[in-house]
Amino acid sequence: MVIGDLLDNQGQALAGELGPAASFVRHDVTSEADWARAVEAAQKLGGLHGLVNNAGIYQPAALMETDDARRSDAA
Amino acid sequence: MARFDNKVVLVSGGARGQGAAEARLLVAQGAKVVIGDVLDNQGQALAGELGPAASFVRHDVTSEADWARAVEAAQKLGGLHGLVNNAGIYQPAALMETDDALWQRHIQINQYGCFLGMKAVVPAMERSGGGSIVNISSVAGLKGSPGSFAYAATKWALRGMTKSAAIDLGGRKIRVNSVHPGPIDTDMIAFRTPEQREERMKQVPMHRYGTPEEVAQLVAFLLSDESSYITGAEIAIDGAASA
Repeated sequence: MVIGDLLDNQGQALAGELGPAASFVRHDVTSEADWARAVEAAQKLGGLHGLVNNAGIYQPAALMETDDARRSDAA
Repeated sequence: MARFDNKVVLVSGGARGQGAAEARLLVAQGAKVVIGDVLDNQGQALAGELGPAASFVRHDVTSEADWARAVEAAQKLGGLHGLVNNAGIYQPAALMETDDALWQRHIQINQYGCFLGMKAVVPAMERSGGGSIVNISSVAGLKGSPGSFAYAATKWALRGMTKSAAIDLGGRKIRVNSVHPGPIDTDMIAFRTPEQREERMKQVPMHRYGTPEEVAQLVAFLLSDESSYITGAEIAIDGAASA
């Protein structure tokens, strides 16, 4: 299992808890390079058979309160 | 009194194809129309043909400043009662053939442009006592689409944006609906070979392409007061292609 996330501490802690079957990679899903590194991490574990596109944000605002700012600005 | 007397409608991508058919029909039914497009020559020629009821503004839908200018042009014609988010691109490519530039181009024009447009018209529509926004999606926003990944992504997005905006703007007397055309005979699909056209037609139970004029009739209905309680709806116009 490769755990990808921006949250280093929590990701590493979870990987530690799961043992050698899991590895953590810092992973910004908007970065192609990060995706390549995540796939590479999977290869090291023996290939790649599944992907869960689970990362996401939810910052609710109505249409007229939705501004142009991208995630990197909001982070 | 004509159907759209004293009403002003902004049509993005209005210089040709479905947008031009909508502009023509709306003017014929009494509306004043602002034609927005990046195609200066065709836009100006159409505005000239339609006379004083129409004005052309150069309008890149990804530019907030251009939206502000288009709304201003509408105000000069007497307010703003309708918006057709018609501008869009269709550059079909399957997932693995979709590069970052193609993806971003679709998202910017088809999706972000619609977002900017809805936001830009709300204050002017409120001053006009309410309004109607029609977002042009596609059958590609109703079901999965072969070989047009980025396009389909934006057309599904428009469908969801329409429903969410209808909820957010309901209290402001602004209705928002999406229209989902199937294959329509315009320049957008002119690149298809006769064989590809024939193949596409086989997937349409009515065995023909739709016309821009047919789409314009639906859009005009949704802009008019005849549809005064229809908001948040998605309406296919596709010869049963999505049925």
